[in-house]
Amino acid sequence: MLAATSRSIGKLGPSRHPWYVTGTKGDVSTLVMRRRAPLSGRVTLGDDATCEWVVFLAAGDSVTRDALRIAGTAIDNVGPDIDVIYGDTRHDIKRDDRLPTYQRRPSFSPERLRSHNYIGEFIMAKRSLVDSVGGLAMLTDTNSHDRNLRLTERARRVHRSPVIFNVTPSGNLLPDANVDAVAQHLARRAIAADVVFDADTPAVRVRRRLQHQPKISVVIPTRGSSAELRGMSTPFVVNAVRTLVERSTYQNFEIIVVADTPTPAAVRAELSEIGGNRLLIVDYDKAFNFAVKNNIGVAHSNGEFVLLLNDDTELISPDALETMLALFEDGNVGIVGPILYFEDGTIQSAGHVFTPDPTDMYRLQPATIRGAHNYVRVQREASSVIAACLLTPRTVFEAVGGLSTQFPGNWNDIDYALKVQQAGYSVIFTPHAEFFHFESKTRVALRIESEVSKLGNRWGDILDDDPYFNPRLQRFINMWRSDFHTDRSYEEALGPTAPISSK
Amino acid sequence: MLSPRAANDVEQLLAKWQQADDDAGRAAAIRRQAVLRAQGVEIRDYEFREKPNDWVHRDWMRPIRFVYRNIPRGVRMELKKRLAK
Repeated sequence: MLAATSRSIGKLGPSRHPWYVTGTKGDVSTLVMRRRAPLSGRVTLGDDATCEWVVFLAAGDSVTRDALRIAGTAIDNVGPDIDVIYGDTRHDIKRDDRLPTYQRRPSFSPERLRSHNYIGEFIMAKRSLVDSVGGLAMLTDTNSHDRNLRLTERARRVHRSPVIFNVTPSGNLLPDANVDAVAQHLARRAIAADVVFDADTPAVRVRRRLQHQPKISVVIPTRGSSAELRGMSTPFVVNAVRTLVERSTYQNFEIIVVADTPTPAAVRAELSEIGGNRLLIVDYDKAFNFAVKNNIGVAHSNGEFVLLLNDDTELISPDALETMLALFEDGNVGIVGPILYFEDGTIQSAGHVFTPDPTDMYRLQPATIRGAHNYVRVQREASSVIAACLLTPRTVFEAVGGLSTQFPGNWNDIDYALKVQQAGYSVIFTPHAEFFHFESKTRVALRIESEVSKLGNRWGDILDDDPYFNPRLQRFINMWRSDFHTDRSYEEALGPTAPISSK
Repeated sequence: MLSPRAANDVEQLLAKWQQADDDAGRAAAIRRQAVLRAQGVEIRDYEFREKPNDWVHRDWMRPIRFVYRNIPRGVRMELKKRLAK
């Protein structure tokens, strides 16, 4: 098993950034690599306390020939505060269609790392960081999830290079998860939370403990329209409010319904009956503007948190509000979005990615789907979540100016999420809070060029390079899928996979 | 039922948020332009880039691929090594 590892080390360099490679253990499960000019391509074994960087590599995996050169370039170009570097992995297995299998990874996603070890076995860290979090011997002995958590929680900057750094013969494409490692990490970070291990995924679910019970203002814009729901004609907004009131185990909320003037009196009466003294209906008689309607609703509300909710939604998991609310205990979270399903149980949205077209991930896929590397099943950072159901603190909403009225129909949620991140907060998607969203499955958001331009002129560079996506993935689709058609290495292009993947 | 906020207060809040959004938008645009400038990319109105060039499957690659696969293994390995650098 170790022959491949040794061979790959032997082939490293020569490159512009020469490295010495030393093994601290007989099984070469940890390699210590030291950058020093000018001798290149030389490999020595044995720990070296003067080395600058440590590379952790699973026994049996191979380092790609370019890995260290690319890491060296990143160290030189990105900034001196880089403490940790990771990249992508190729699984050297042959599937039926003979395509190689890749693990393309997003930029650093701390919440996801608490759920599972998406970074994998290969990670580079500064020697000083390694020493400060417990030393090489300890990090070599512990499991990779624990090691990655320890390294990243103290790193000044974690850098992701979207290139293949290591090749593994392992056929397991699901990141592992270690519940003890996560529990210890939470204790070190003083995050009050319970951890539950889901062995089937595998993943760790981190449930923060709510320290207080803040009031949520639920803002629902509506026209009072009805549709067939489970065989009965039901006004959407009535169903949304009723299910929230009847099913939610968290009841400290008020409901602000922003109703277009034509909203039927019967619907208003029914809402008043269900909502009682915690409901407010605000009339809206101007031209349709989703952003303005929501902003007006928030302006009339008093809660510490704001839940933007479409009228065609329905609460599924009774503890959804607590689950979402608890994530704000960290203090740096600006938005939390749940997973949304269509009426037939297929996924409507599992967070957005920019491909560069803002896309609902795994839309129309069955609820049982894991997504690539359990993407759908884990709590994680996202660049944006859909405003059909989005929880945000009022202070953050006000600080960034609410939903931008420049986007009356589409993409106000994208713009809002990006403004929130620009202000220093993160956006979290959680699959542990579930709602229905009875949007038409065939609805395709009309792409208006002026809106593309407006959104792009603010955020174009992020749309083109979404940090929670990977430039080596297929664009303009709603799946996390490697792009076999473009961005290939010469080796891949000339090899046997090219004509097969062109089918 | 809850009582609505006074219309004047709501208008003031909306105006304040509008201002904050304008500021955030301006800051975002400036940041984007700085990023583009640093990358040496021309600053112009944004539009979605379509798929990058799929050079792998261009017709001119077919004979190259054919030749590559049929050359002796040693030569092919040597080429791979050089191309991978």
